[in-house]
Amino acid sequence: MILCIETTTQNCSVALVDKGAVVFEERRCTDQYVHAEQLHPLIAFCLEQAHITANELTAVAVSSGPGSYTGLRIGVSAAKGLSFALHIPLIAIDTLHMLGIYGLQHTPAQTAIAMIDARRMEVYASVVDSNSATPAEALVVDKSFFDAYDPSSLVLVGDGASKCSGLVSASTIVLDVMPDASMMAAMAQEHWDKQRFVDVAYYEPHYLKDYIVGVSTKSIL
Amino acid sequence: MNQNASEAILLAIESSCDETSAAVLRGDVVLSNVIATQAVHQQYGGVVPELASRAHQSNIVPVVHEALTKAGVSIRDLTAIGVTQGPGLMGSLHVGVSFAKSLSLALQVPLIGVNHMQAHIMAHFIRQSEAFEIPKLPLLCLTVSGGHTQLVLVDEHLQMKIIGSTIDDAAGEAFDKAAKVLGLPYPGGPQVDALAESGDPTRFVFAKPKRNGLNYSFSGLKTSLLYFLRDEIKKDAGFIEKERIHVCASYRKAIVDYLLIVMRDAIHQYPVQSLALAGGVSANKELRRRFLALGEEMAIPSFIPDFEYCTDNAAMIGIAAWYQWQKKEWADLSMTPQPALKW
Repeated sequence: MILCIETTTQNCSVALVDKGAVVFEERRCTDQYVHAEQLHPLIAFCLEQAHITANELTAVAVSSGPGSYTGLRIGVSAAKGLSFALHIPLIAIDTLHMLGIYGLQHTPAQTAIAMIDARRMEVYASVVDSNSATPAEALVVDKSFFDAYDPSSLVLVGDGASKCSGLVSASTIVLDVMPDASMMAAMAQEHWDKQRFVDVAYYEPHYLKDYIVGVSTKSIL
Repeated sequence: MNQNASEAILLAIESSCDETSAAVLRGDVVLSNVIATQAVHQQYGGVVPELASRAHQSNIVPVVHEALTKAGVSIRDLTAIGVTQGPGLMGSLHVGVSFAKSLSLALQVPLIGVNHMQAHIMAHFIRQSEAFEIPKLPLLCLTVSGGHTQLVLVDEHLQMKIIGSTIDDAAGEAFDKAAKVLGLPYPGGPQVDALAESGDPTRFVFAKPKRNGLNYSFSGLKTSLLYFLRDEIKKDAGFIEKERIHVCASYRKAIVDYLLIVMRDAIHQYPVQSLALAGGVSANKELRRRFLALGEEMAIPSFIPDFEYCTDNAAMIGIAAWYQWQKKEWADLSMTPQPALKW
């Protein structure tokens, strides 16, 4: 049984996955970030509902971002703690790739652009088709960005999708969904089957943006 | 203390600022205390919260692993998990608290949220050796760090009352800011102390802060130094270069005089059995000497913990957690970090 944790947006969600299928899922999604308070009770609740203890988990999967720094801190620290304490592997799932696959599976589109809201007119985006996903990038979206894609076989997916709806043709599908632990099921299982794990000691989430610090040069005297 | 309590094995985690630390205790004895100091902030002249949090994320597992290994303890042997709940930087606290909650959930052992400032004082109750006698209560503690300056009266373990505190800057800040204007690298407090050792403390006199009951105020002293240096530099551009050690010594004396004169007042007001010094600034050599001299003069036993228990460390979180654990002051999985945690 794999425990999946998704905390990259204000949707805080967990899912228990067995053989690639969700057996139990729980989420809290409000305007505020409730992850610090709710994530662990949700995990405990899921285990209880599934009538298992943490000892019976075989792996922990965490959605690795990009996304909210606070969400990532809480989700990744929680996943590391479980992996470390239970001596079970840690799996990192690329959040945008996961969203893209979700978009392709739930629409007839051939290409998905996964988008997580990064405030203002920025999104974290990745272009996903059935074979590949481009590396995530932080984009200031404008109309020209979409010119490269066939509008009638395109889906925009994620919580950053709706703010681009005015920039694309009416034939493009806009799937305004939050990343969710239940979307991680198939990929988590695939990682498990292929034994694609990350090192619990040194793994870091995908912050995407390097944090640039301004150094003050002003003299006090 | 019952047999059970002395055998309890606690893992404690501290991540409130820029130190990632984990400790293992058996009862009130520290088996390991691992501290990873984040070097990343030095180039910015202060702690950058986002970078601190990211560094905690990459340090937490190696630090906890090392603490368990050094203690020779298996993670399955743990009785409870203690973690700093606050006060501190939100992003930093998140990492420790979320990680600790997962350990508690996975191992099915109690979780204990610890107040970092109380823990600095509780560090005095770590049994440092077989012969070590822990301080008698009531205890009066002067806690001095980069963020706090407090006089705390401890009536019972964990029962503490703040009887005085700074109304503006902390003493540690007053040292760090002086270091900055004197052109010393961050963190400058310890550098001021080191240079002051060879300087003349009577060379310069700074304005004495106004007395305000048992409270402190350091902003006036800081400004006094700033204006003093401005005036002197106008007369001689090389003033700081020439007089640095004496400025450090005189300024340090002013701070220590002030810290202890208020503490002396507190001793006259409260019947205390022991005196204690806590927090990062308790590493200050002049403060240590003068604090111990004050205890001797007043004939009250005085305590300063080993240096590794003075600065931010998880052993102090562990000892506080151990006392809380005995009283069953346990948290549940919905506990959240509190950047401005009070008591």
